[in-house]
Amino acid sequence: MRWFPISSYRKAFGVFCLIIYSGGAVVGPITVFLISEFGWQASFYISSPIYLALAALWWWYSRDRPEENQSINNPEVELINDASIIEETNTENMHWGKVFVQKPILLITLSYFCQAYVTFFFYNWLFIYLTEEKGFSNLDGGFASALPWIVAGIAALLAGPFCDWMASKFSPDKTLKYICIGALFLVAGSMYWGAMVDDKYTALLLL
Amino acid sequence: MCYGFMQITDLVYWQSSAILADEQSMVASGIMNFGGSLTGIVAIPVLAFLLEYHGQFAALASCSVAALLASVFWIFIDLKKQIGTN
Repeated sequence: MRWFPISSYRKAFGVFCLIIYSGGAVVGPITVFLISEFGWQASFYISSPIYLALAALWWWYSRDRPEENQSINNPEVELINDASIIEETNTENMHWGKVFVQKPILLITLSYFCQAYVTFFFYNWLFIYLTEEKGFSNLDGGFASALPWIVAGIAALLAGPFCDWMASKFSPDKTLKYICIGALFLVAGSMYWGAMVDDKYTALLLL
Repeated sequence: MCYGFMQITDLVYWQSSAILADEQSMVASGIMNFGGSLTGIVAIPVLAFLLEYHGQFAALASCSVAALLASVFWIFIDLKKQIGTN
């Protein structure tokens, strides 16, 4: 969050999500393939060195603030710390416990708690749902369960510029709020509709 | 489609926590993410129970209800009112 000007945060987060969900899309079929060919242990043996390498990369490159990173020059730091849609506040020395009990933080946490319920369905049950309920084979189910991740990556990438465009037309704070409410309604609707349909491909499309 | 819309909301959640908390955006994002992780304590057993005793439809319908509930909390969130301001 400190590495991008807040006006470009949505685009940056969109790209960030695209990378994450591309990983999610790839890992499903690869894991199914590794398990079917070499056994479930292989998926752990192959994943471990990758995560170790990522931890080393993070340790080498990551800093709390861009100005602490040698590869970021002064004009870039100035650009990052530039435009903001918010006013200066006195939150710098606020204790985390005080942040925790702030009404907006509690509300957004409660909302995220509910939103994450849907995420847990996708993380834990989608593959089972597609194979056991909708009749996809294990391999097809692996590929099919990767599709939502691909769509999620594309959606995240497009959502950034879309939110920026909406924010330029309307008030930024209201834009974020109503986009989120609208998207949550669409989540609820497509999930419910997906539960209603019998055709497995239509269900996959909706999910 | 559903998961695509989810990602749009994800983007908004993370940016909103940064907007609301300003300098404490890391703490606020951590608290929000803590709430999201806590969902696992509820979601996994509830989804398992619904799948076992009421079928797949009930499990998916419960996700719809959760998404609607998440939107209700948004009605009361004002992104203009940062924490630390009156």
